[in-house]
Amino acid sequence: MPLVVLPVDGSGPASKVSDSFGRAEAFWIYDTESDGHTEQPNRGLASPGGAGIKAAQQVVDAGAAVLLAPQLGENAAKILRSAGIALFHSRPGEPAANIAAHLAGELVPLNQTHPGQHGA
Amino acid sequence: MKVAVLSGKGGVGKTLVAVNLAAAANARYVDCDVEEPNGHLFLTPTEVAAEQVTVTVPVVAAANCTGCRKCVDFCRFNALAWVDDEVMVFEEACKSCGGCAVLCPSGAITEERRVIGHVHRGVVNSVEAWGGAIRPGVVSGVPVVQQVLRDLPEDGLTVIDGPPGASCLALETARAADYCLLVAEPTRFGVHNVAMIHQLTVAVDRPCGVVINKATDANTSVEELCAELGLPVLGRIPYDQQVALASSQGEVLAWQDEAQRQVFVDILDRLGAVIGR
Repeated sequence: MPLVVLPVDGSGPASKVSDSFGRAEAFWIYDTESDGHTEQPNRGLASPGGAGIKAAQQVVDAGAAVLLAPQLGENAAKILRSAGIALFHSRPGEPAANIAAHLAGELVPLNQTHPGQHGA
Repeated sequence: MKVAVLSGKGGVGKTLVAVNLAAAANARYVDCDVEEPNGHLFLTPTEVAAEQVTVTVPVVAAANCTGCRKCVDFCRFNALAWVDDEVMVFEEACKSCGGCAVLCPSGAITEERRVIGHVHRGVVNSVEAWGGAIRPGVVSGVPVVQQVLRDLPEDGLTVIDGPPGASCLALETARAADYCLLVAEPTRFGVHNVAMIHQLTVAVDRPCGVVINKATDANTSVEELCAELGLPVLGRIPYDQQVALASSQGEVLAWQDEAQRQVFVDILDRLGAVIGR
């Protein structure tokens, strides 16, 4: 069951792709086989530090094959890449629209990372 | 008595105030702006004793690791991750608590030291000049600030040149002091910065006063805020191009010119009055 994951703020139909990966409110986990999705609260959200690391661990543990995100810190990207997760740039807006764009092959690979916010 | 010189942002004259207060009082000067220390440009000590600052970080022997993930689940700083059947260590997130090494049931985790900076102590004229600096690329200077402040003598006056802003470094510095001196420029930005750093001093329950640098008669907004917050204004250093020029050449004003020295002696007198000495 190939899973596509996005960091989102809000829940259900009100979900929007979050600007932040580590500090997103939740993860939207789409199953390409069943065409259904689940949502998990981001366990990194309340961390005083290392939120991106915690969030990346959660995405790995969820069994993601693909992550769509607007940007990634270098620590999170290191974890996700080591786990063999494919990374693509998301577009602002609804997760469902991003998944459709991804399945249509329209999203650009995410190759660059930022040095992290580190509590700033 | 330990006085921390702080400000909500950089470039307002913390080092100017701290260096000259220490010079005017023959006090101890301690540079805690470990990310960008510049007190040594003014007070350049001789016979410097330096020591390294180290932290411990976990090292995982993959051959002994059973993949139980206890260390990863335990680390509240999220310095460890379990990926691709291996523990990944993020040293800059580690706070050196050592818990993972204690907890590991298979003894796969040991701790290694990493040098993250240094502290130094020296003397220039009759001023003891101490300070710390982090190595380039190190994320957190908190252990360096802690090591500088750990061994501070209680005797005499110590002027601590703080890091800018209201970060963890500024918090550590304020916590180590008996009194906080907030330096501000007479601008709207200065007003905002005093309000911000004042909150930090309230959080650590330290009394504070304000010194206005580059003061002019045109803008009294910082004085108005001080009146509102009940903070004493302990000094006004007038805007003066000669002060800027002398500072840019690394001169200590209090040693160059009696009139300039008096500006800082007056601040020390008012400081003495508010702290009851």
